[in-house]
Amino acid sequence: MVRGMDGAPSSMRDSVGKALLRLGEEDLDVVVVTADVGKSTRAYWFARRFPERYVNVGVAEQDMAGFAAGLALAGKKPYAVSFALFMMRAWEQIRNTIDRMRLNVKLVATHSGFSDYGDGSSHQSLEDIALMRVLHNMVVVVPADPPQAYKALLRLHEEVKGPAYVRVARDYSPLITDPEAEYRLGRLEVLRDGSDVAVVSAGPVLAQALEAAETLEKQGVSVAVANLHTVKPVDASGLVRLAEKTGLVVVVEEHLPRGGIYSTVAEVLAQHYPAPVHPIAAQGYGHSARSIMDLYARHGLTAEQIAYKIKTILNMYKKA
Amino acid sequence: MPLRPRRNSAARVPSVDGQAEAWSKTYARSVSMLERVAERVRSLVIRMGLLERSVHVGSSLSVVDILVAIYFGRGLRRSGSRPTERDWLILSKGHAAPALYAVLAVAGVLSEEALYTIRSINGLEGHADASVEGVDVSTGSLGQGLSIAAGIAYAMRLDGTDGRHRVFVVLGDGELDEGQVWEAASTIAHLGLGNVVAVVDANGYQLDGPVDEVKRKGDLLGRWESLGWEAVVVDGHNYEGLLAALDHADSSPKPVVVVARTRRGKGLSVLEASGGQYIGEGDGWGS
Repeated sequence: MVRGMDGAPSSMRDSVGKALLRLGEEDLDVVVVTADVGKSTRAYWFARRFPERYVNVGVAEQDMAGFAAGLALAGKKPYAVSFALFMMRAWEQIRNTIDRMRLNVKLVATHSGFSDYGDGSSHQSLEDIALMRVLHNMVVVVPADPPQAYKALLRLHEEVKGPAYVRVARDYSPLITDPEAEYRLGRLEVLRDGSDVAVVSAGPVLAQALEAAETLEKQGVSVAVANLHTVKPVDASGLVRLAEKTGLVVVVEEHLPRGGIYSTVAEVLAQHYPAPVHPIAAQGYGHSARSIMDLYARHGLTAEQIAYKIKTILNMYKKA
Repeated sequence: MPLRPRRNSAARVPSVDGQAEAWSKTYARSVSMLERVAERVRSLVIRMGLLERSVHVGSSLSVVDILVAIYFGRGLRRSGSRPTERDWLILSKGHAAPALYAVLAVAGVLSEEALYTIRSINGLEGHADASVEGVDVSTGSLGQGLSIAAGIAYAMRLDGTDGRHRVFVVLGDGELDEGQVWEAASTIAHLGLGNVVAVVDANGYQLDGPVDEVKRKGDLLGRWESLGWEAVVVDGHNYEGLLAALDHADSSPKPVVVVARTRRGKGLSVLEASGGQYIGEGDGWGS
């Protein structure tokens, strides 16, 4: 079930390119702004079709955020497209100008997590979910795979009139969801049922979690896996249902274990259904690598490592 | 420390100061009206500063004539109901909000009572806030207004209204330390957004002291010109000059920056003398 590895034709950034083209056709108010990464992010596809509605502000992410804010104030529907980490450079502009005025700016962040493996730790964003999730009005979406990234962008355009942050990967994008399925913004997506432990994850690393669940199933452990693609606003009742069923939750994320999906799940359960929540997350800064799997292995995020860690956690509770 | 004019500035800069005589004939009546409006605005700002000591009085008083010139002299125009069918005014130096609020009060948009709620829990925000009637954009964190203006101006171009509407951005000279100002200045020049008008309230001071002591600002005109802007320098307390500069900006195909030499605390002798910010200033009071 896991396919579309490195170099495969369909990637999440290609989904961004395709979704923007479609939105550009359907809505004349769509304007795309980027900061000298039009080609890498596929925003450039939009430029070839709608050159007048495409602005490259150069290597200037703060200006990009402000420019997009101005477009939104003037009634346009801007998409600011950049690498996730460099978009964070404009955090204060996003906070003070876009989020505070609740402007209809969509921030499309590519190359997130470890997906820009070759470029190294300076390009690998492991903090962005925390930084965006803390903002009062911001909607935060972390699609699982290329079809979901495409659908999420279309749904957000339709349903969310305020600011939203969409976190996508560069190339490593195994198919995780049913491409034909309807995408429901804000709804926890249970990909697999199970009763012993629930794994909550988002983004491409979900594929590792699913593979780990299959391995554990063969060993007699029943693992539920859920896709928390909408991190904010969070589907609290969906998370509570999962916790009720399993009594134990493990979060797998391509992000540091502070402020991201682990924190989101822990915050919800602490308040509504206290149950143990354990993180399997990035353990610090990344590094250049020849493949994303090398980084996953370094940080304990391969299917095999996840399965082992989950068994360790389960054993801990058996002893107690 | 007031802005040092460039030695050859008179030769290179469109000489708006030199046109003062012609302009004084055209604007003779309106200038005296504007001066009366400004006096009223200043008195309102000082009252706000007396009521609430953390109000940035010095920076608000320096920018009064600039705002009055834009708001009442040149005027903000509207040609339709879409957001791209009107002029915009962005107070990028958002700490001078009291001056903007006072201008809005004189214009009848805000009540005078509302002014005196400044910085109170149910009252006006201390920095310019778009939830206040008449305030176009929320600011307060320096360096962001010019980028926002670029986005608005670009939307006007897309809607075909850039020929008849302008986006005014008022910045401080201390604010020019922010790198984003220059990111935006480059973007605006590169895109040829000739309907952006930047006005620098060059009062010579920033939070920690005289601007060039905190950090040298370099050639205030040349920095903009090198990017493709047209830069003019005027006396920021002289309406003939200010109106001529704004008029020039209206007809210029290039983005125009008006460097307005002003005095911090203008109109309040004790602040004018000290260059101070707050009434009854103590160390570190306010920001």
